[in-house]
Amino acid sequence: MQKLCKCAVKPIIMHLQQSCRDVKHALSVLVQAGAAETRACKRICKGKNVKLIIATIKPFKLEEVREALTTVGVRGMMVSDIKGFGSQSGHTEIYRGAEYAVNFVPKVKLEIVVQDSMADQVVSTIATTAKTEKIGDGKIFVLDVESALRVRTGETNDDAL
Amino acid sequence: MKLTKYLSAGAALALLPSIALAQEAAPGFDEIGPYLMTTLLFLVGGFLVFWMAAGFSMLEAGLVRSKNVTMQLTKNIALFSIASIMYWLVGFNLMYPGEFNGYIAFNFVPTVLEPVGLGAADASLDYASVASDFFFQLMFVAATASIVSGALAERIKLWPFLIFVVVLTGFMYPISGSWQWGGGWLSELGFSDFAGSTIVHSVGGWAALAGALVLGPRLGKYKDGRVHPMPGSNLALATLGTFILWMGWFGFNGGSQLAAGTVGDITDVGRIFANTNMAAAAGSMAALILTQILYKKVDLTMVLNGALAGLVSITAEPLAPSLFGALLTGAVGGVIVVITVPMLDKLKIDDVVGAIPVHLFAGIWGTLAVAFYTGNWGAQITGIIAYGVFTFVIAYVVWTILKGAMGIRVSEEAEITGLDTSELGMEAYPEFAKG
Repeated sequence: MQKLCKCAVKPIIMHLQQSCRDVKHALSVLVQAGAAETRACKRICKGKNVKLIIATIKPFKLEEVREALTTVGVRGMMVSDIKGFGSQSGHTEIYRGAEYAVNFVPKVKLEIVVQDSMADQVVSTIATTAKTEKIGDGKIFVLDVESALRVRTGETNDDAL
Repeated sequence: MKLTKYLSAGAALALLPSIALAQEAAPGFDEIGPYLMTTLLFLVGGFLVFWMAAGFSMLEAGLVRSKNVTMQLTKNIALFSIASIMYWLVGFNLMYPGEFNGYIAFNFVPTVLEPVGLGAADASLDYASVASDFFFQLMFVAATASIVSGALAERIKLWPFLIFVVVLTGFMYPISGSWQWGGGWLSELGFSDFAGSTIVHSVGGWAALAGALVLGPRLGKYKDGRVHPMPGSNLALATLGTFILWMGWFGFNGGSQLAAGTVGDITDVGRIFANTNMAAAAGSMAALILTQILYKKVDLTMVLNGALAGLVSITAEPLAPSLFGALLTGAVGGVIVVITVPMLDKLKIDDVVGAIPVHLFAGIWGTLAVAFYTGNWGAQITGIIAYGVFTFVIAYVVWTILKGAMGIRVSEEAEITGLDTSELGMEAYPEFAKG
């Protein structure tokens, strides 16, 4: 079992939970899996090292961040206009002499899917480019991606990026 | 060759006396010229003032939220049409009855125009055609009704509003208008209101104020002791509307010279145009500078209101001031708007487009300012109070009756959903995502 690569274990356990009622069958599945260890690892693990980076930034920084990310080799991103609040927790404006709170501040959300190996560089690029050192610069989150697929070719995972 | 030329010239000269003889029966240009010019002034002024209906529509469409735009536009075209019909039916003859007791003329008859192809002998050559006069005057009553629609936007039901417009344009405005422009008691007192700072604008403002009090503020506008602004949907339309009003005002004030047949009259019309423009510019600049000082940012909606307040201020006396005088009058109007818009909010009187500060408060200022030129403070103050009491009291009563009889306010759900979908089932911008 210890030979099984990490990523191969999860599907096996799921398979056990779903369809293996008796222990004998379960063991045979495990043995088969062990025997196919090398092959399985190559097939299943390949391309699983894909990360999703979600970053919120100040809208006026978008173009600068896009240029910086293109320079470090990012080949695609998803961008959306969002509103929200964080520690900045809104601000006040005046309309016709009456002050009012803007509870949700406009931000831009970037979603970038990259290979594991690029993730740190992307994060640091965004962090340095989007920084103004004033409140409301934004946040960056990094998530694992279960799978990826390129619609046109059917390529999967990091091949699909 | 030369001879024939002289001969034909001589023949033409010989004919001249007979041409002159043939024209002797018809009046010369000296006689009919003033009539033609004044009629033309009314027609040009009238269609400029007509265009103000478009200005009010755009201003109001821009300053309400997108969910109420269709309703606002519907009210504007309906109120203009009602005003046109009511002014024909009774309004014009109530307002200009000729000889009457000075307070109210019981002259409930529709307007009748001159016959087709009127002969010069039958025309009132010292004035203008009845049709052009009627056309010009009716545009003013429509402006009064537009003022009310802006203040009460986003929460009033369509039909009660239109019923109020019938009363306002058919009776209230013409009766009070007759006191001054119809030759009634205020004109005998020496009150002066050139183009209607009080008679048109303050009357609209008073009716709007009464309506706003009876109707109450929009839901959520004044909550927990705070004012919650509801920014307008389209400031490009609001700005367009302001410029259209500004343009229409040249007809409003210029046409109110009511004569264009002499060098003096037409020169005065020019003077009025220039002064009117100056007052608008000063009003907008005053609001621009004052909002920057008070709020550290310029507020476009206040600048637009400031320009209109400048226009309302100069309307009571656009002829006498120098350009510098017009600048001062208009600038004070702009200041009044910036100060009184938040003041109304403190009193929890919800005026969506700033109609009350612009038309009522600046109208009072403009009417008072006339006394700098006439010196008759008593007459000006009497006029302001008379129009205020008459219009406010009657409007308040009419609104209260309408409220009791049929309800003037839409349901809470309809107000939150927006009047466009709830009352009309039609949106102004159906392809826009809801934000």
